[in-house]
Amino acid sequence: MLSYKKIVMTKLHNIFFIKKNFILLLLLLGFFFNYSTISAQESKTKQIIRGVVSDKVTKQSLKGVSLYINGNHVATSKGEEGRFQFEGYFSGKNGNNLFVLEVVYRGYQTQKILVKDPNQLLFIELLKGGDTDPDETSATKTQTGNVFNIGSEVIEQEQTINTVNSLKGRVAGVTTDGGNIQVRGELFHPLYVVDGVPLPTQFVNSSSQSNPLNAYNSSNVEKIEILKDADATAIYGGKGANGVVLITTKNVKNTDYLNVTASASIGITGVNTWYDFLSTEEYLDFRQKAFAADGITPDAENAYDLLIWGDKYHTDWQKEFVGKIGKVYTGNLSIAAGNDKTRFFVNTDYYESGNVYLAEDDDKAKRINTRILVNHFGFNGRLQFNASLAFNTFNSKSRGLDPDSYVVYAPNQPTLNDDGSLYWLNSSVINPLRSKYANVTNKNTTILGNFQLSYRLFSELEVKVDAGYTRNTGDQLQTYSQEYLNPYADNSYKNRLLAGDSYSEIFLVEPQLNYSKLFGKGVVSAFVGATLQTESATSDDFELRDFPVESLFRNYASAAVKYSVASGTREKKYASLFGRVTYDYNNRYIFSTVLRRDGSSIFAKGNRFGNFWSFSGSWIFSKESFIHDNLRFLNYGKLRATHGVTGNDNVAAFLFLNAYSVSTYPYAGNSGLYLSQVANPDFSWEVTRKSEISLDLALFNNRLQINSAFYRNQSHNFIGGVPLASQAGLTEYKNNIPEATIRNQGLEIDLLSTNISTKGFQWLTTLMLTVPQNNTLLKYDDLANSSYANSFVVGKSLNIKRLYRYTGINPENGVPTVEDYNGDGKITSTDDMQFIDDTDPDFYGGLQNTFRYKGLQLDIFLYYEKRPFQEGYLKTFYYPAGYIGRNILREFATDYWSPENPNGKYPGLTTTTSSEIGKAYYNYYTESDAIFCDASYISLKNVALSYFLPKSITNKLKVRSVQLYARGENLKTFSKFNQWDPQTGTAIPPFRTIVVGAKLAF
Amino acid sequence: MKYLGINIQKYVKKNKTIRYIFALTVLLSVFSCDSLLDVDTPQNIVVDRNVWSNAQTLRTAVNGLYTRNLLSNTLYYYALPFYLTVITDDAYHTSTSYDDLRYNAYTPTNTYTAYFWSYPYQSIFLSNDLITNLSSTSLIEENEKQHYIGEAKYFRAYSYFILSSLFGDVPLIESTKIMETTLQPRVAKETIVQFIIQDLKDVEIALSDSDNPKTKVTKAAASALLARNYLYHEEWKNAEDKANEVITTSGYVLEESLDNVFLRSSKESIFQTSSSGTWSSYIDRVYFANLAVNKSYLLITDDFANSFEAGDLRKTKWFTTVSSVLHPYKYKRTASSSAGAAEDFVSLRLAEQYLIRAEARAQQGKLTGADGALADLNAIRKRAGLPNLSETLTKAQVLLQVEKERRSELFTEEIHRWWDLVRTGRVDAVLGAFPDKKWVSYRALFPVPEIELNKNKNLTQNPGYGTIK
Repeated sequence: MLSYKKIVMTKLHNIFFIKKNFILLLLLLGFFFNYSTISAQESKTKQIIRGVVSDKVTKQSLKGVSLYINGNHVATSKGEEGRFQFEGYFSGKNGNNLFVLEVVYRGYQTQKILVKDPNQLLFIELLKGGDTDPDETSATKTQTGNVFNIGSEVIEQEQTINTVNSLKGRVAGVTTDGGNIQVRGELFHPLYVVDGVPLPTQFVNSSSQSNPLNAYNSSNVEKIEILKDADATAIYGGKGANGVVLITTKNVKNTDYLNVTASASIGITGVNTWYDFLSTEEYLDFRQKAFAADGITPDAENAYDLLIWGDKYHTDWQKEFVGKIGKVYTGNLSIAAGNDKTRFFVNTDYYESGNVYLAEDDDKAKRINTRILVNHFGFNGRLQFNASLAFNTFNSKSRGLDPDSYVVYAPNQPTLNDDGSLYWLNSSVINPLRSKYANVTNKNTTILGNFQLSYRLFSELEVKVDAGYTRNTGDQLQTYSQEYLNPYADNSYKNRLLAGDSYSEIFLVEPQLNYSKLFGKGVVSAFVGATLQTESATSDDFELRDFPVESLFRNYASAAVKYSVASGTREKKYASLFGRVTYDYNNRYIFSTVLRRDGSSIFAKGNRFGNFWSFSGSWIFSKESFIHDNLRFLNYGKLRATHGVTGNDNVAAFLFLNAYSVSTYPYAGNSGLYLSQVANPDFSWEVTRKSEISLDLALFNNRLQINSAFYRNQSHNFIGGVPLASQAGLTEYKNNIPEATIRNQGLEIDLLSTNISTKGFQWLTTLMLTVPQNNTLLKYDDLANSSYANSFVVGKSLNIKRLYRYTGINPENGVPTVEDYNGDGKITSTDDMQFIDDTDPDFYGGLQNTFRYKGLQLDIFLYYEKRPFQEGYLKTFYYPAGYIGRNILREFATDYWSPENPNGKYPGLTTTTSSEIGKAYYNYYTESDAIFCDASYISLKNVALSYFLPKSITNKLKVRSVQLYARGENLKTFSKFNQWDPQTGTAIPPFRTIVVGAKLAF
Repeated sequence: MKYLGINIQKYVKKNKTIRYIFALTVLLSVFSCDSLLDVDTPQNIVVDRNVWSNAQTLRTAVNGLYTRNLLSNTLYYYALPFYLTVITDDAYHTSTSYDDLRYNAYTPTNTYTAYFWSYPYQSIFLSNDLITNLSSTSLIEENEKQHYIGEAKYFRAYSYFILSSLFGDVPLIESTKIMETTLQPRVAKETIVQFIIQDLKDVEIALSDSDNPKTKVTKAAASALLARNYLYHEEWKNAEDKANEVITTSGYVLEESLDNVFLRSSKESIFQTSSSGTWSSYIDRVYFANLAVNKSYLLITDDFANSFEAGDLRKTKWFTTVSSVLHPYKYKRTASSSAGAAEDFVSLRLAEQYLIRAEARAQQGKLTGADGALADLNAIRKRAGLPNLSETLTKAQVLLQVEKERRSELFTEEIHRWWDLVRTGRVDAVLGAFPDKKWVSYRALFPVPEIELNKNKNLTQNPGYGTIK
């Protein structure tokens, strides 16, 4: 799989010019292995360039220094000596052996070095001070697409099990939600590409712990790049229409000694924020008041909490469920070595996190990831071969029930009997602690194999094949012991087990031709490529009941009732052909165009293929002399525009066929089929037109960098589920909806500022801001006559809520009232739900501050989001205040209506849903704007402190370096939101995690 | 390959244009080929062409009528009595979730009434699909084909009966073109009733030579349902004749003992859900257990308990007392004790036909004698251990007696009590007598679910709903 970066690399330099027919080579796509004999006369000795970089004054070696040739990153200095080495075919603009090497390092002046004799060791010394012009040379600045990348130093600050979470607030235009990324408000998930191999979408769609993205964590990810606009995503075609997340894992280092790194950390994790519920005494008092308000006499039926339970128990169900603190352990060991020809890298990660949900001691999640990487350069460097094999396992054991809905249970509800067994009252009251007897275990294994073979036929042309294979197996087991069941209910089963196995694989092959050539002062680079991808998956699910004892749960044969069995298979194929041409004139004007033809098996024959394209142009205006001479403070400026059309096939397969399903149960011994899907043979690629204008600036000796972009994506004939009225017999129908146009647009700004940069002390600030206006329904012809008539409004977001307009509490009787919009004396949803607002965020972003003092570094990261209109507490816990068995937030139990407090903010108390107040709760109040509230927040997401031991100590310890660190995540959230947490709503808040650790390099 | 490669190279070198064309042809031919993207269909679904091209899969699809309707669609077992009995004066749940039904506070957002809009249409969708596809098939004999169409029409007629009896006017859907049917408006109840009657007449003809067991749709089942529809439509003569036909020609007889009525071997039941084979314990649990012994559900009201005459065996045999509260107990099996007599869930039985004939005769003034209403009522009463009724009762008194016998005989079967009160117009008087019921006349028709109004703007709401007091 080609990555974006590699395409940029194909603009390769001012290459020695040899005439050869380019088109001819297209024919030889399949024969390239044999082609070397024909082109042998063009061979040329490969150059190996090596050297070291150091500070000109202190003579201290510098690592992390970037080296560029003609804007292409060729190497980075590494190790304590600041050494670098790279190889290839380099030549100057006139075909001679001279070329210019640019050396760039933050905080230092950029150096340009004319290399005459590549075989001579280069000693490069850099002088401190503002970078003269670093950005014009870096790869990300000269490309024409909108790419944002995050380096490993940021990723390492996060302890999350899922690397994707580390993107939150770090990249403008990207939001994360439960381990998934949304790029620019796209409703579907982006394409994830790991080291060039895409992950199957169905894997990453799941928010479960088996998400294979979990395997990519802080210690093995080198960087994550997000491709957002049409130009950048175009090479991925339909698969990448919703954005592309490129994950690059840490790669082989070229060292002539064995490079061993080991790290370990230990920490704690757990929930940090809590609802403020009433205590048992307050709750009982509140219920008494509610009965008094209703004028109902409490009896054992309607007031078992008062009359039977009493005040013996004081349970905070939140803490009962997620009050524990889990321990987190991580470990990493990596070994790398190699020479000019062959290198290897082996890395193993271990992660273990104690569960906090109702945890027993052995409830934990464990993950082990191992990667083996081999590189080989052959035939004087013409041949490059990379192979990697990654093996990831994830095992977890937990009490698998979501406690969200139980946190509101009455504090005086008894938990356990004296003998330690669960307390039960009657058939309808659940004891939430029963979850202790529900076990969920997950075993998940992913194998990713990937190889890339490239061969440079001659200087201008490279033939390449990428192939990848991913396999994922999952095994989930849920068991419900006898104790889980309410003995008062007439349970139809005893010990019960639900099991699910899944197996999926994806195979991809992608041949590609890269061509670069000098034209006057510019470089033309082009490639053509093709993709063939097949995905297949199978799953089996079954339920067994009535195991004689719990200990036989793994002995399936012992189940008396084989209750249900289901199996599924899925297959998808994808093929595309694409080409791209880029012209880079003098590093100043860059034009690029992509054409592609994509086919997907998702669609019916005849609708499978779609043609897509994009065009982009960049102008690095800071290079123009009239700007350069007049605006001295401007170091760098680039204006870029892109426009393109992409296709999206993100729907279930086989919707173009009428399909029958098999009934779960046979009738009188005979199974049955029923129509479960009505065909839509006509739908095809959803088309999105993406446009973007961006401006990148570097000012004041590069002390301030501003990257900004305005994007506008318009989806036409998008594929939607048209909701059907029940009378149709099915609930939904997937179709292109050509009548509708949906627009996602927004402004994204990244600011990078070097506030203070002295010899000893540095202070850097990064600010991200996204102002989105996504999912706007721009037009919908004849909306009034469609199934969406009462759901959407033209010109507004798809995420609008139609609500009653709350008109306050009736001071006479405490009943919440809503507006009769059309004044007909009746409250009807269709006519009177006329309060319309969207739940979209107004803006969001992150603020990162980094302080460095000698070996000490402190990073503080804040995430903020403005989301003024969000469903609040009462949407989830819609029980009237005073309802049986349900606790209540202190806020609602304080300023409520009563005859003594006729102006109370909240409705009067009631114990039943059939009272006037109770009915109003269900029918109007919780369907009105009254229950919405401001979910804006600022969260202290990360604080990381690290310290490199001074060389004097490490030398004594005989290690190359020692880093000690402490990191905290999700430390504190500031918000007025009345749900559990503004980031998760009603679900459990993100865990606060604090770890300390050490990293040693030998 | 190498040899071939060089040859091609030499050939195409001759002419630049040929080279371009050749290159493009090679590439585009590969990437325009649909078959490159052919994949297998998922194993858990069956594509329609595979269903309708094979007689055996066709028969399996027809059997889907039974698996889906009788085993999956709760409309056909517990939904009606379980959710709706609480509306009447017969029973109630302790759970407050049903309070708005119990106290007549239901609104267009009520979940339970909404079930009875969506469940029947799921069934109608299946029938429409089968009727459409069967009509055009030539895989099976015409006779067999007509049987299957008849079975599909029976379920469709039953679903429309439920819909029109609860909501009045409803959309009349006859196809599976979902994008069109989703927007169809309601049609007059009268049209629906005529449609039901026509479907059931068709079923009678189609199944006249069928040897289906009574666990499947039979001609007698269609006739019995037709008799009920005639009665509800106040076609007294038709109702009397059709019920008479079932009683005299179908071969079913009233069971002597109340204990045998709901057994699998019942001689009285006309249509019953087979519990043989893999009788899903789900149904077992929900139907039998909840209705019979789970003390949270369906507690008999004092009014109903007191309505029984002294010595009525139905009060002792078909009720059970749990914690001194009466519960319905027509079925004895529960999930945890699946041993015991084999029971099938009965949806149509002969006792109802006697009561239909009695009512139809009474309405026509035929009160006494061998073909009088009293004879039929006495047949039912005799089994319950009750004496014959007085020959001197007036027509009005006989009709009230029919209402009482129907209540005592058919309780927690479908929702007969509700239907009886609503169709006779007695609902205002009967439910209005209970102050806590807060009865209002317009509630005799359920509200059209709000979610349906939102999705189909051509729907209208029944009168009265949507008022805030």
